[in-house]
Amino acid sequence: MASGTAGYKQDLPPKGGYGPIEYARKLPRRGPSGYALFALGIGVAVFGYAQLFASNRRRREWWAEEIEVQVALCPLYKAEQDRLILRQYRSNLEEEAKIMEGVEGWVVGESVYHNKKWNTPQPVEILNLRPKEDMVRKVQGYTYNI
Amino acid sequence: MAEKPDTSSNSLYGASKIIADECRSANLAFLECKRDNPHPKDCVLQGEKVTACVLNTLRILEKSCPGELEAQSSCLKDSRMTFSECRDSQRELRRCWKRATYVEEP
Repeated sequence: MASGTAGYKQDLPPKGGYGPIEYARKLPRRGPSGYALFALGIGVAVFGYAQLFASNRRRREWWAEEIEVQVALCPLYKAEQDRLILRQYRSNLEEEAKIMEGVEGWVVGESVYHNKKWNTPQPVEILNLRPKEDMVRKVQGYTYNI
Repeated sequence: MAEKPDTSSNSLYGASKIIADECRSANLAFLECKRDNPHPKDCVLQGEKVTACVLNTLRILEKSCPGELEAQSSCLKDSRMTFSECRDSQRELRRCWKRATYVEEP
């Protein structure tokens, strides 16, 4: 729109001038309130703690179940182990009587201790007259993959 | 003597809950004897009762509930003896045991 006599276009303000400029401070209140935020945080924490306590309780029950199963089976193991030890001691005694026949001053089956209480035998005491594989199996057998 | 049942660790652990119920008195007697007498020769009678109870339980299970026992044993073997993953087979085994040992009240 060629206005004026010059015939060029000028960058002028719109008709009626510009509108009012809002320079006042404007901080709109939006989103949840402070109380609501606290409630949300505490709610999430309570929910998480409830899950944590429940899982811990469940894990303890599983552990107790494992122990209960082992307790149910351990008398069987101990009874069988006792019988094996007695059998092997008897066989060792007879072997010892045969080997040390005629050696003077040797009491067959004499305990090396002075008091009479039962000392849990080392593997050597039980297996010293058996082949080497038995000893290896007893000492290292549990580390093998069953 | 009846034939020996399968006493691998899988079978024993599979039947362990039922063995715990059935052999409770025998186990307790043996453990009390053991607490006072650590020598093996003192508790041989109680030990024989324990072994007899466990083997009888396994025999009954093998005769009456072979499928359920096998299911529980293989479930435990696959889940590395995790009892929480084998609740279904455990429930079936216990139901079968109750059916097998049901005694009519006169």
